[in-house]
Amino acid sequence: MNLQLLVWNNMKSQRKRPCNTMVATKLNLMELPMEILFDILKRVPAKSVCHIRCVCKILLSIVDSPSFVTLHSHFLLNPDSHVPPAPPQLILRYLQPLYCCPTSNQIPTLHSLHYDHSNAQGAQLNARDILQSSNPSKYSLYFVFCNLFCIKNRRDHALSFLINPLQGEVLRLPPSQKVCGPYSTVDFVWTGMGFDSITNTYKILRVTEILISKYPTTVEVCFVSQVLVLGTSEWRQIPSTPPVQGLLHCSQNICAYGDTHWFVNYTREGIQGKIHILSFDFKKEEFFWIPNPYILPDPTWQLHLINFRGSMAIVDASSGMNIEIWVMKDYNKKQWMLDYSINIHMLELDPQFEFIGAVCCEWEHGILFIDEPATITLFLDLRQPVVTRNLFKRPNKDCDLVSERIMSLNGSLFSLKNYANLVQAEEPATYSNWTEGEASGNNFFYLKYRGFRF
Amino acid sequence: MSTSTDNNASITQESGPSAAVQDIQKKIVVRTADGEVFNLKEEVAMEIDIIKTFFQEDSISYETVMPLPNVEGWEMVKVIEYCTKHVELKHKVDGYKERKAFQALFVQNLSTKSLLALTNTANYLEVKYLLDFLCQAVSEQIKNKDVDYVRELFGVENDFNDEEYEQVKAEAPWAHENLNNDLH
Repeated sequence: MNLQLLVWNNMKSQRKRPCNTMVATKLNLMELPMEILFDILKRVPAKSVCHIRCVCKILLSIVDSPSFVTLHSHFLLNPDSHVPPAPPQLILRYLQPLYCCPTSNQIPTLHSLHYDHSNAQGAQLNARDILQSSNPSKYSLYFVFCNLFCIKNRRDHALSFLINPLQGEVLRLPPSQKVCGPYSTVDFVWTGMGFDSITNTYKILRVTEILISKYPTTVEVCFVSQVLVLGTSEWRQIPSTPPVQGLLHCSQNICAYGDTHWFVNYTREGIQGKIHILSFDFKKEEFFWIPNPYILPDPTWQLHLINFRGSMAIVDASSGMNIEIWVMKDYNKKQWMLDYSINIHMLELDPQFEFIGAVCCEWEHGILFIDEPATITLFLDLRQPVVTRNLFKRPNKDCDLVSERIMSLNGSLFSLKNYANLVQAEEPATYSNWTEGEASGNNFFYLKYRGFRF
Repeated sequence: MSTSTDNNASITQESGPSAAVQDIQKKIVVRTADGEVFNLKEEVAMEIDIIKTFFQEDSISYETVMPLPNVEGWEMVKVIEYCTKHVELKHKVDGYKERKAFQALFVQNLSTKSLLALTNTANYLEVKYLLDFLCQAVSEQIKNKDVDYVRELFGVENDFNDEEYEQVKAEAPWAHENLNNDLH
């Protein structure tokens, strides 16, 4: 018996524990075993992780290491982590005339935005310049994934970029192979991004809806699905296509839980309602349907699919009486819960504000809407028992600030810098020759940090 | 809460193993680094993997006092407290609020250094859910606090010179605004 104990003692004393704390009752952070430090830091939201970098050199090297970034991102994307939601980073995209040429085309700039709601006088939006690009009308937004968003060139579907605005990174995505034959045309291209936790890779999905002319007058619709693994240069065609026949009208797209989801207008067999959520599983590389919480109203102008506190949520303003927020609490079981029901009349909204066509996303303490003309932004603060709201009106038309869009980015440390095709975003010497710059992506440039207020 | 007359079903139990046992709860004895001795109920002791392995895999009799040379007395008290509550809540259907309230109290009076020591102990003792909870609690303390606050809280020395520090800070300027340094 005694011998057993001795052997046991010997074995156990070799367990990882810094020997200078054998009898200490207090510990410093840096004395913890590395695996525990990683475990703690992976749970810290991205913004705070940026502070940790500045604390000391060891923490800087830990936080910047690719293995930590991977760990942090995986934890964030895993639906089982139950990560307490971190406030999202708002990115404002608005048009600004070129400094040298005030009457010229306006260029969109991206800004990190903070909504200062503590000011009793009224809201203030504090913006910091991040990124500028050329000619806005040529690009539209494909999707937002964690801290990245993807834009495409409207004329040329093959040209698309993945942007990490907060770190000023722009990645050009490889053009996909031509999918059309001589008698077919591309009707619509939609994309989404996700994370495959089995192979630990980030993937982008691209679905092309093709119209094939058949003699004499019929038109057939066909889908081609392709997947790109980030870091590789070729799109790979996959067999799974959206489980529909005929044209698919797809409105909003969000990336949540490592998968990507769309509102689609389609009548599913045996299921009521026309609006459904079509999702793509990046692990299996397959499409699947997510059950709706209730029969969703058609059309989707007042229905929004958003990321909300780490989960997927539906914001329904169609009733005209209440704004309802349904959250998918358990992704494994695909269960929805009604988290908020906000009485619209009690909000006492400006009569000019219209929900139809508004864009919705989340901010630190709730959700926000920007109306279609982009003149009024409505911030709803959900912390109070009675929801408070703050309307932020754009300055008058004389002012050159017109908000195009606010995007809500999740704090993620994911960085594009290790991937090829990274475009050097730097301030250009001249403002001429935009078209040349467009194809290469070199017309994105990164402004030095400077602040201003609306 | 049922009583039975004829059959062999158990007399009511508030919590405990599902087996209808009327035996006296077996006790496991451990001794910590500072010489304190603790009697644990078997079901609580088995939550602590290192103890479970010691007794079950190595088939050591429960009469043996297990030494825990890397654990302090006060740490053991806290671990036992948490594991006991965990076992109790296992049998409750909707213990969510109670668990949250308990967890808040559990860390309330712990200094940061004690919290870190306890985290280390939970790792050593191999109690996964306690380790997860404590790591989360530590991360909550770091969240949304600026650099100086984190340094002070964790007793870390700044080994950057001014220039280096400004450079590192400038790599993510958007992160260094709108902070909340309240102690809560």
